Amino acid sequence: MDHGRGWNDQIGSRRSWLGRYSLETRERLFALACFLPSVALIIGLILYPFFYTIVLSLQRRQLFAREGMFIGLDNYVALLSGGTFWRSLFNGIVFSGGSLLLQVLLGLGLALLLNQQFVGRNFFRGALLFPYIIPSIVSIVAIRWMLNDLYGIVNYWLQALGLIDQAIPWLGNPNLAMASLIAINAWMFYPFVMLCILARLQSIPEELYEAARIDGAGGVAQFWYVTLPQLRGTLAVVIIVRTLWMFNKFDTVWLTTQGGPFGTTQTLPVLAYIEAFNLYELGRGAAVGILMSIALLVVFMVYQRVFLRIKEWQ
Amino acid sequence: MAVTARTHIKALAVLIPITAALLFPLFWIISISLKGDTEQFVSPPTLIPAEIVFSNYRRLLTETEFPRYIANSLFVAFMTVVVALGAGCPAAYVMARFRLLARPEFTSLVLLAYMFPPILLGIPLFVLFTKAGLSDSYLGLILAHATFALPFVMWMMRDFFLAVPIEIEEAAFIDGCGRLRLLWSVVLPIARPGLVAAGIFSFILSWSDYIYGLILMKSETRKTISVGLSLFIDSTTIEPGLMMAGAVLITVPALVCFMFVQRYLVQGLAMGAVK
Repeated sequence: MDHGRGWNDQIGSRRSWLGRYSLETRERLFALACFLPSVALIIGLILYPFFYTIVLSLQRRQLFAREGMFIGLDNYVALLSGGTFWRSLFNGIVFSGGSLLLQVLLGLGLALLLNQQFVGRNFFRGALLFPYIIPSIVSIVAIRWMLNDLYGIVNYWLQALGLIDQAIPWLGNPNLAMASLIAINAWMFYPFVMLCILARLQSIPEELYEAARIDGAGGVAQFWYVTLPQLRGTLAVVIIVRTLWMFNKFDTVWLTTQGGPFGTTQTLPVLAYIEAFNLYELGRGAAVGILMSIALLVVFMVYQRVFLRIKEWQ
Repeated sequence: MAVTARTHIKALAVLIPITAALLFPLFWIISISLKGDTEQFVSPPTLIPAEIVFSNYRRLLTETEFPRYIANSLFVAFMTVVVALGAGCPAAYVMARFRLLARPEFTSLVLLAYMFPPILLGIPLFVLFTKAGLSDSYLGLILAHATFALPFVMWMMRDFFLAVPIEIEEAAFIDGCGRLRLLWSVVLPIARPGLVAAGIFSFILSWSDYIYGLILMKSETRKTISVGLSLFIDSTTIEPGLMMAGAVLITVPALVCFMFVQRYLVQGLAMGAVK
């Protein structure tokens, strides 16, 4: 890790002819003044609210009530002993695992294609970022209308091609909703994977491929023994970051299915929202949030370990 | 490696259909937004509008609350940028230059703050803001957006400040330049492209937000664009033309922003400027 380049440390003892404080003191005051507003905001808006969530999770509290009633761990007991929490956790794992797999495959494939030399390469590199840079709400509005069972163009095409007899409610069918949601998410977020992998691919020295070719390696062998090992670190980081973001994803799930039909796409963030803002059980929602953040913390710690390992590899 | 005509053709043969499929939804939004009331529903659907009309845009801007939502989002996004840059830049600078603050613990804390799931903060922020009288207020939403914009700015600007050659600062310092002036008239001008990029990314983050707008802004006149557009999907009378015109109007500012930061696009996106 970088420790900053503190040239001020060496000349810190020099006395200033301005002001009555030593240079060192003034330097410290300057650093403090620069750092304090951000620290205050982070503590006030992130850390304190987080600890306040713990307090809320130990209360029975209605959404608009001014005070809650302390009930100990009852919210947690209720959640962990009921089926909804575990089903939401399971849905979340399926959702993030599926979306992750699909976006890594799509992102990796496209990055490998875009790393070749051909006319219009820069055009494709830019164009393929579009699904990622347009606001989520726009992607979802577009997709939901395309998948509409009465007027959607997807059903129209599939019927025109004779692949299906009647229109399918892609997001309304309990058996298909999760798969549809995974596909939508992979479509929205593959460019992140593509971008990271492409950046790494461009830094793989050509000599490695030359050496492999001299040793008689074909295309597949070159990919397997040169490209993939070089991508190892990037892939690890990308997968962990995406896991975190997919597991916490609220807006895409909420805006497409609201967790339905029959809770088949209800993940933990959706459960937290429903408990707190639809059922007015603020304490219960907070408890879901805390359980989620425990899972988050574990993944984050793995991320840090992996990050350090990658520094070692490089 | 020699590039033959065959490699060109092979790559394009694969990429053109894939790109067309992946970008089709965007094309479809624009197409529908330009269709007249009956053409939006005809079967078979027309790919390119038979008759291009702008009535959807006109109605959206005159008959609905959409202009209000746009104004709200613009204001909140702009103020989020001011807060995030105002607080984040000085902090990022001292994190890049002072040994004590450059410790890995601080940098991971910033990253952890950035990774915090909005749904987790939405619940306590709703309660705390209600107590403080900040719920349903612009200030509340701006502060909520600062929870992701500020750590992002700190994270990104630290890298830019580390890239500023320290010798320049040393020279200015020896010439008797104070810290504050050093930051204002030496470091910031050098790091300005980074500053602009971090600001624009913060703008996009705030502009695209859905969840905080949903949780915090309750009155009709204070809704933001994402929430406003989502009302179109769930309304009882579906008007695809209006909905798509709204989608286009939300997308345009985001795209313009991205064009301004082209040079830093890869870096910013890889840092998660969009989650």
